Amino acid sequence: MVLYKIISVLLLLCSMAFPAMAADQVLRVMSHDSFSMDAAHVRAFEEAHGVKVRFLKASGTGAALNQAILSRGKPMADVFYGVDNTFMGRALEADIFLPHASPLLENVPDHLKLDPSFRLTPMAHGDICINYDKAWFAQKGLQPPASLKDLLKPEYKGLLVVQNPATSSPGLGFLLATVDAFGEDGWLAFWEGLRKNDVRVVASWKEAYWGHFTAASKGKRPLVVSYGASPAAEVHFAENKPEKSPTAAITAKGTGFRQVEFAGILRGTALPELAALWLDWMLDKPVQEAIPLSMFMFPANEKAELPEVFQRHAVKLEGTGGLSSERIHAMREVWMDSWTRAVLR
Amino acid sequence: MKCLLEVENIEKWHGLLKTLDGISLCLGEGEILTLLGPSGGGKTTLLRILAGLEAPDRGRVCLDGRDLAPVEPHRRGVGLVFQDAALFPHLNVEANVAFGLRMAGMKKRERQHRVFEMLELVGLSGLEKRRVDGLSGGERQRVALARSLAPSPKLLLLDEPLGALDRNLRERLARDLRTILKKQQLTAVFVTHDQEEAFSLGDRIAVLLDGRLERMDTPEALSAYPGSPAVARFLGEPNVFTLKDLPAAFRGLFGDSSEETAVLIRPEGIVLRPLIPVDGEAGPFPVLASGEKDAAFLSAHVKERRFFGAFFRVELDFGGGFVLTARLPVSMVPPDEGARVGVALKEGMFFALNDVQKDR
Amino acid sequence: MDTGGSAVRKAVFFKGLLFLIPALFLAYFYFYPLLRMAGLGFSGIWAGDPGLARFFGSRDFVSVLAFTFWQALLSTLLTLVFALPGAWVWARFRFPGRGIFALVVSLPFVLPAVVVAAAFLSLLGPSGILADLSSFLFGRPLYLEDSLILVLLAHGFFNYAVVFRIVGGFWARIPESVWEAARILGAGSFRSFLHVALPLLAPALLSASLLVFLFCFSSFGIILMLGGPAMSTLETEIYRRAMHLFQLPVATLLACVQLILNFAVIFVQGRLEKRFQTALAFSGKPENSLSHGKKRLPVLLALVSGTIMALPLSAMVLASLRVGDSWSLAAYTQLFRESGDGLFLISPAAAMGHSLIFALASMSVALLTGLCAAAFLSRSDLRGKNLMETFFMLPLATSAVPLGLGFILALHWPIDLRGTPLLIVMAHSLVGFPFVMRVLLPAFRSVPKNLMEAAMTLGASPARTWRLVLFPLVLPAVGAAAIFAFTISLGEFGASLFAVRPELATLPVSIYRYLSHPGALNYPKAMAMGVWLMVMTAGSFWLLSRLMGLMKTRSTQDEK
Repeated sequence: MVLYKIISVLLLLCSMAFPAMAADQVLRVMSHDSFSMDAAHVRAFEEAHGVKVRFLKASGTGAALNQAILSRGKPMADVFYGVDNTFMGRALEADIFLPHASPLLENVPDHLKLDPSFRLTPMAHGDICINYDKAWFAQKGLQPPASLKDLLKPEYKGLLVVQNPATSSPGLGFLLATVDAFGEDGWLAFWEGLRKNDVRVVASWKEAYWGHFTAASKGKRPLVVSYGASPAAEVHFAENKPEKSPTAAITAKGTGFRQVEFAGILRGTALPELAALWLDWMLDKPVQEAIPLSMFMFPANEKAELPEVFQRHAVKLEGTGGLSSERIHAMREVWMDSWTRAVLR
Repeated sequence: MKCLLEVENIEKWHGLLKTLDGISLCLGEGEILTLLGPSGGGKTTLLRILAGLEAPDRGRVCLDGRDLAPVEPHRRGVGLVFQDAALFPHLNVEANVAFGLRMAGMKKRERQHRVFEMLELVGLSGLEKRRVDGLSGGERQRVALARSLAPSPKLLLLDEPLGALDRNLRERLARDLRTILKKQQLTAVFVTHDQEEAFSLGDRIAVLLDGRLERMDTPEALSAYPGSPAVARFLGEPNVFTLKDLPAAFRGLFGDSSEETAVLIRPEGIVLRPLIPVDGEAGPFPVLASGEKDAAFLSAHVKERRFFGAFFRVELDFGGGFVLTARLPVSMVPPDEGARVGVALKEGMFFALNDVQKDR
Repeated sequence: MDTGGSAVRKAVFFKGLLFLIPALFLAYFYFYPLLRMAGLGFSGIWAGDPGLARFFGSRDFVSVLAFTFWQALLSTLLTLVFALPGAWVWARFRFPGRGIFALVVSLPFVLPAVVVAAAFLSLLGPSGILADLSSFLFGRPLYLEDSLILVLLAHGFFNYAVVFRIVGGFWARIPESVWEAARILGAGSFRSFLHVALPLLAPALLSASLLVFLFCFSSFGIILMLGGPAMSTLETEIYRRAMHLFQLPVATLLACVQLILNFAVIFVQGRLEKRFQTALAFSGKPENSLSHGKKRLPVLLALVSGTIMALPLSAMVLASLRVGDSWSLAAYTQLFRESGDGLFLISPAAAMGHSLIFALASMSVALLTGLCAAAFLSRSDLRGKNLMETFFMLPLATSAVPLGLGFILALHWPIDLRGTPLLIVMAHSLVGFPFVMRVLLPAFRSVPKNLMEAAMTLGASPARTWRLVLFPLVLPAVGAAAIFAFTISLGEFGASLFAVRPELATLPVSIYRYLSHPGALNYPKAMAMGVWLMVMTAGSFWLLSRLMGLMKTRSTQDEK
């Protein structure tokens, strides 16, 4: 009796596990935790191409990519979304993507097309920079810092929360911003100064923003490493849409890092054509126009119109740095190890 | 005699240890054999081989003329009663007794009838629905017996079934057990290390020492003539010697046997006499009561004297390391420790051991 | 007359099957992925990975290893100090609420680390109850964050049950006469503790301590969530190196170090446990030796101990009721409502359903494999069974990360299991399997061999002997093991996060996702799910205690 029950449960599971065999084709999209998309859009794609779309989410940006690299040749999915320019070197070196030159790339500005081999298609970008709580600074009668160097001043002691670059992509982006700003010889000294000035390090963006940033939580830190689009999100998610965002981003030249997110077709997929269709579709206007409010990034497609809240409250850096993705790829681990030793140990 | 159970030259090794060494025996129908021996003597191993729970390394077991080697335990038709009863704790008394019947495919109504019959036989009528863990030790063994008897095994094996019970209960149960087995005309092998049990229960007794069958005989014959020094010692005889250890005065009693001959002197065959001091070279002489004929005579110190309620036990030191243990009836109060007494042996209460066949 | 030959063949086949089922299960779902992972790591080592020298060449490795030991040691000591009074009171006294006390202190052990961490933060964190209370009382908020103290407290809270169950259970079986004898011989209560209780309890204490040490040594979620990014143990370092930095050679070497250390601890612990199981064949009537005396101290101790243990749990309940700045049941009434578009953040009710299905399925698998393994290992004529037992226990102490990565690397053959729900079931079963075996093995061993033999001499074939004698006797243990496997699967987090598809999220994964999503209602909702998980676990444990009670009465009756 017990045996029969066990067998029947197992059968049930198998039937759960492989509905794909009975139903139509399944396109599997692998991504990181912050990936989000409108269900209506997905349904439209499913209906248009007679497939089912299934998402796989695997932790943060780096971790998701690592899983994709580990399953190289036998991919768990057909499409991967979410390689950024800090990790693209790793992805290209591992050669896990098939080239696909989307016709829609003509609408994408050149500075986002970082992969000449077309294995990575730019989808969105956002600027990693410092956000501050306007009300907090107004109340204290304090000016927000104007540059990274300002952060070492005593009046900003204990105000900043950053992410661990080892576990968070904004954290890594901010680290790269400091390398860019202070040079490969000077950035560590800056971090040692930050450490003396009581910088707080947490594991993830969510923890920093939703756990420590005064404007978004009961936290104690009015300065946080976040995105240029975050002020727009503050307005968008507020219950009574305020006229002005309660937060603002510091966008002066040399204070941030432009993150570009790419998608690609995983080498070894059984559905390369369909995967290419998905990429084109993602790069097309409807989805691109939804990206700002689902992921709070700027769309890669310049034809896409920004929603009003974005137009009014989201900002871009006034100048982006000159670190090449090759240099980043070559030095990333060394920098992270040095950073860990300087800031955490 | 026709053999129901025939055991031929069984050998069993446990690692480097030979637990059974060339065991052969034959058991007639309706006969009760008790396997007597010290713990670790191989009794239980032999029993388990008979039941098929272990396989012999050599030799064979036949039941009713059929070789049992390829027969699995559950097809042998051999019942086994364990020392701790081994009742199934999740079943009640009735289900325990009915277990073997169920295995045999007996119908429920017949089964109930048979269980009733068996419980009546072991004196537990009316306990059918009781949980087995509420039973006393004696009751548990009775249930175990009923359970083994129920499927009418051709051969019943009992592995010290009374070992864990207290003395009074044990005696009563041993009596009942024999009655029941005889009533059912069962062929049984009963393992025990208790002599009294062995003697009162068995038609024949097999003495198993260090994996060897030392002796197999009726209780009376065994008692009269232990056979070998080892058996004699195991049966509790305190005075087993080789002839050369004896004082010269006793040595003559055993005729012209060789120096190495083992001899036995029964403790109840020793008589103490007061000594009369006489001047002269011959030393002390005892007074002989008229009509008694003693086979030998010597004097010794009383080394230790103890009263056991039903008898006295006296250790007599003859000097030169030779000590005899005597058992005296309550009517013959022995002298105090340290006293010197005359010692005589009764005719027929001492004999040589070695020249006996192992079994008939 | 070839019955004998076929019987032997049948027995060999049966025995082989008992071994093969768990062995194949472990081989494919445990050793194969681990080996693939190790292979990848070692090939990097062979190739002279530069990260290796950077990590192992510097002080980093030594400091990580030292800190791992240090925090595990401190946590173990704290757990002992914390749990022993409770174990004593429970073992020696009868008082009102004794059962509830046992339940409350046992609960945290099966709660997922995410929930425990969240509960601690809602109690002691920067925006926790303590901070609110202290800023109200003293005008200054008192709170803990990213601190070793928080980690130690959570470890103590988490592992209380281990010490409580092992030592308390053992304590309760020491007969009253031992204490009476000590008292008559002139030992006061302190001295009788020092000279009688401690030596008697030593094996149980040591065994429990080693187990706690093992759990703290390989603790992951609590360190990660309460310790902050600066805190690094072997386990979190493996996670960071493998998952984020992609330094597989470093991670592999670390995982090997960890595996060897854990193997050693499990081996020693298993040996100890066996020793105290045999060393103390005291009459197992725990209930009889309870004193009824109206002592205030024990009741007070139980009350304090129970309250401390209940605090984080109640903080979680409170947090689930607090929406914004007001009290509300909204988190509960909205449990069935999807949040967002339902593609990535499914409704709590759906997550609960997934959790239940996964728990049932992995319970079945863990039970099947665990039963076979326990039946196989309980055979007394087996050679090298101690080593084999330790091998079967290994999943207990394996870092989830290398295993999870190994899954991705290995399990596409012969059919692609990655990304299927079956993978989660198997991962959960793998975590539950050692527990199932640990519960079943003693049960199998405690069935007297002669019961089976009695059945055989009464004409029962081996199969019927199993079905009619052995199985009914171990059934309560099977039930207990099933509930263990069930609750473990309910609370499992790491593997589920690794392998799950967003639309199939389990309850702990959902809690994690809701915790890290914006929205006023998401935090209380996460807490409400935590409360649900707690209730489900508590219910299962209540059942478990009933089954254990059943087993206990049965075993005491056997000993009469």
